[in-house]
Order: sequence, then C-alpha cells, then structure tokens
Amino acid sequence: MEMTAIIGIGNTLMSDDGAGVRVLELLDDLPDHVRIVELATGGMNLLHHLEDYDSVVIVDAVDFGGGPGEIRVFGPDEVRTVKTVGYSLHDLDILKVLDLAARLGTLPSSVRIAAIQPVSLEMKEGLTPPVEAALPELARRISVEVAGQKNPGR
Amino acid sequence: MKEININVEHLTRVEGHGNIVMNAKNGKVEKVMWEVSEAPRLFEAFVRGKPYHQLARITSRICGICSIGHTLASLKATEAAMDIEISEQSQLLRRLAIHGENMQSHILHLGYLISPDLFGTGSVVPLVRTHTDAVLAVVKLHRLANEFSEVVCGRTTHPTNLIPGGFYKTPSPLKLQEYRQKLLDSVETANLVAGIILDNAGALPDFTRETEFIALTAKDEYALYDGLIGSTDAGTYPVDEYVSVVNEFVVPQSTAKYCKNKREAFMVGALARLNLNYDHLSPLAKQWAEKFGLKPVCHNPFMNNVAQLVEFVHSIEDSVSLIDRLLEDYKDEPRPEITPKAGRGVGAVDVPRGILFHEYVYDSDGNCARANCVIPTNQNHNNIQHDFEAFAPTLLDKPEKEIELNMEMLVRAYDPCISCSTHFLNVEWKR
Repeated sequence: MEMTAIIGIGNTLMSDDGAGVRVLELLDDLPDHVRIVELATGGMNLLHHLEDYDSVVIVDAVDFGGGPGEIRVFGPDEVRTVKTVGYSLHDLDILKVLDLAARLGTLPSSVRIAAIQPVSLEMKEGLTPPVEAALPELARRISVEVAGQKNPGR
Repeated sequence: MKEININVEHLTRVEGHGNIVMNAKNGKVEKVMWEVSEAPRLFEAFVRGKPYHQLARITSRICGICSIGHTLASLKATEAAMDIEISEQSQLLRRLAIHGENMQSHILHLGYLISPDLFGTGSVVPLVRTHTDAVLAVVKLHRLANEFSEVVCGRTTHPTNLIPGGFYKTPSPLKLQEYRQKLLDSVETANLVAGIILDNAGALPDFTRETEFIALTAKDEYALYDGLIGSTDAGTYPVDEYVSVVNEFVVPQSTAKYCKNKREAFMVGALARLNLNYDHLSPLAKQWAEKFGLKPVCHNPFMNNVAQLVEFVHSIEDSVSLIDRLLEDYKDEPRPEITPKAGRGVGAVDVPRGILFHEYVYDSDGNCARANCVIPTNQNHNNIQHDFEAFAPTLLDKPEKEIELNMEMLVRAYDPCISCSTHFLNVEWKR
C-alpha cells in the first residue's frame, strides 16, 4: 500500500510557529494509508520520515507575505527560500532538507507544503486569534490534499 | 604589516548563538574573544517547589539534543538525595540510553556540522553530489541511533520511560534482540564513515595547548553513566564535591559562566573522556583511535571530533555486549515505589558534550528546595577562550578568510550547544 504522511512542524512555545503541530489535533477520519507525524522541532529527523512514505504533506508556519492566517498549499518547487539559516538542529529550513532528500534519492514522489501565514513568532504559548480561527480550514485543506492522493490499496 | 579584523556574529553549524571577535595589527593580536550572548535559562529557579517525580521531566527540556543525559543526571541526583537504590537491570538499560544519545549526537555533529570543514564546503549539500555513499551512511547511522534511543527510552527526545528508581516501561527482549542485530550490522557503515573521515583528517589543524581534562572515570569501564570525577591533573574527586572542581565564575564578555580547576581553564567532552578512559575503549574503537594517532593525553582540541568518532564505534560495540548481559536474565521488574524524604543529592553523567552535574535539595515532602545544574558547554567556554589566545597568533600569516575559518573550526570542535530558537520558513514566490 502506498503510504502518506501528514507531518506537522513547529514549536508550540513560539506562538503561531506551533500552528503546524496544533492543526494535527483537528484531523480525524483519515484514510487508512495516512499517518500523522508530529515532528514538531525534530529538525533533521524529517529526513528519516521522508524515506518511509510515498507522499507527504508538510504542515508549517510559513512567512510568504500573505494576510494573517492565510493558507497556501504548494509544492517545494514553487518557492525559493529567503531564510538565511542552514542545518542547525534548532533552526531548520525544511526546503533545504527537502533538497537534501531529493539529492539523496529519498524524496517521496509527492511533496506538498500546507502553509499558514503567522502573525507572531514570539515566545508565548497559544496562537494569535486569526491563526487559531484559520486552523479548521487548514485541517480541511490537508484532508483534501491526502484524499486527492492516489491510493491503489483501496 | 596588514591589519586583521574578524567579527563573526552568530557562528553557524553550532547550536545557539556565539560570536568570534579578533583584531590584529603589525603582526600582533590585540584582541581575541569568544563571546556568548544567549539569555539565561532560569531552569534552576523554576523547579523550586516542584515534586521530585517532575524534576527529570522538566530539566530534560534544558536541551533537545542531550535530553536523555539531563534526565539521567536529574534522576541520579534525586535518587542520591532520597537513598533510592536501582536494580542492576535498570543500570544496564540506562547505560544503553546514554550510548543511544551519544551516538545520535556524535554522528549528527560529525556528519552534518563538521564534514563541510573537512571537505572545504560551506554545508553538507555539495557533499551529496561528491560523496553520496558517505552522506547516506551518515543518515542511516543517525536514524539507527534515534530509533535505538526510542526503543530504550520511549522517545528519541525528552524520554518517557526513565523515572526515579528505574523504568516506567522496559523495552521488550525481542526489541533488544532486534536492535542488537541492527547495531552489529551498522559496524560496516560506521567503518565506512570512519575511513572517509580518516582520509580527510589532514584538514584538522595541528594545534596543541596543554590543558586539564575533566570527565567521569571508573575502574572497570569507559565511564559515561557512572564514576568519579577524574582530572588529568589531579586524580579523582567524589561527585559530591563537583562545586569545588568546576569553580564557576563570571566574565563580562559572556552570559554563560566560566569554569576552572587546577589551571586557567579545563576541557570536558569526548576528548577528555578518551584521555581519562582510553584503556576501556572497545577493541574496534581502540583500533580506530590508533589509526588516527589518537592516544592519551592528547592536547589538540580539534581531535575532539576524532574522539567523538571513536566513541561512536565504542557505543555500538559496548551496547551489543550490554544487551547480551541484559538478555542473560531479563526480568519484568515491578515499577519502583518511592517514599519521598528530605535530603541533598548530586548526579553526574558524561553526556555528548562532557560531564554534566545536577544537584537538588528536597524537603521532607519531596519538593525541590534548591537546584543547581552545571552543563558541559559552560565548562568549555573558558577553555575555548584560552585556545583562542594561543591559536590566533599562529594564524596571522594566513588570509583573513582562512583565519576566520580556523577560528570557527576551533569552536565547532567543542560541539557547543548554546541554546534553542524558533523554526519557521521564510519564502518568496518565484516569478
């Protein structure tokens, strides 16, 4: 069976950075071939999870210059990073890890990034109201993504 | 003569924030400084009043890389304070836990953070094209180390199985058997990585400054989980006397405290452990140490990278023999029951970056009245500064970029872990 993972990334102690993790709680009734991976701040370990799946949806707070809580679902090829950090465990650029996996030949055949525009990334528990309010829609968009992926086992 | 002005703000490929400042004029170093700019963490204050069974859970959050080490130091401090005995089986399992974490941390440091310096690339990405097999080997070893930690500790990071008095849940004998085989199978991969590092070890500067090395040491094993405080200058000290060994003090350039013992500074970490415990290395680990010409007492801080590699191999081999000992008589032990009492206890373990101390004082209800944690990176800052002062004058003939790289490599050799920050992407749309 082709396996799909929804991988939530973020730090729930850094306000909206935690959105990618918090939204996982809202996902239910997922098809059998879908697994939820709470990567949180697991950094380079993303590389190990990518190896195990045929397709992944990575959920993360992304500053793409959108409105507060705006959602975009896109492929890694559609953007370029303007972040200046590299591979330190504590400050990770997932696009760089995806690039690394592609070069190593371990990238799943389908990679989608479900992104939500953060308002605040300060050290604080809880999301800002616009991001909190957008979580159900983010969950819906993720479900649509995984439902749209082909599952020959079913 | 030329003027040299180096100012590296937020050095990369280390965990956290530190700066390198160096000025030289007319062939003389005027200023050279290792600055730490992180805010204090205050963990010692916010565990006050918390019950004993929460302490390891809370203090493991000091670090995302050494969370198993912090858990073990914390549990040992609590157990010492309350005279809690733990079974031999639990002690063996805890040794596996520490091996798992050392393997995770060492391969990550060597494979992702140090290899670009050895190959003269800015990051690991170009290596994927030129050394695909080596990078795949590193990823494989890192993954195995993570999974092994999870099997023993319940989670790779912030472990759940380890509790005061022993284990909440022990790994099944079947899982131990499975990972014993996986560890044996990984020896070939580890040899491949070690061979590639050996071929490129010429990139590590030949620099020596004599210093004191401090690590746990024991009569009958390569001490990581337990032992006395050992010093290459002064023999051994009981763990209880750690305060008079680390001698913390403050300096204006750093938000982290400095330490010293017999000399102006001392070093902790893999090289310190190897210098103090060399005879107890596993056979293959010792072979690799010999191939690199690494023998005690080695005073070249850059060789800390090699010592980590040697320890990685040691952890594979020692874990296999620990699992064999465990499986001889593996029992389903009951969960420990604890009656809290008042007391003071110190716990020391040697974690990836060096010797780590936790000390707690408990009241009669088992609530924490006072805590003190002395972490390895703090003990190394002062030694880094003294290395800077000795190393910088030897570099003045080199181009400025090369001086900068050499100074950066020196800091990275210590594998410093300065703090934690956020994880968000920042992108722009391709037109």
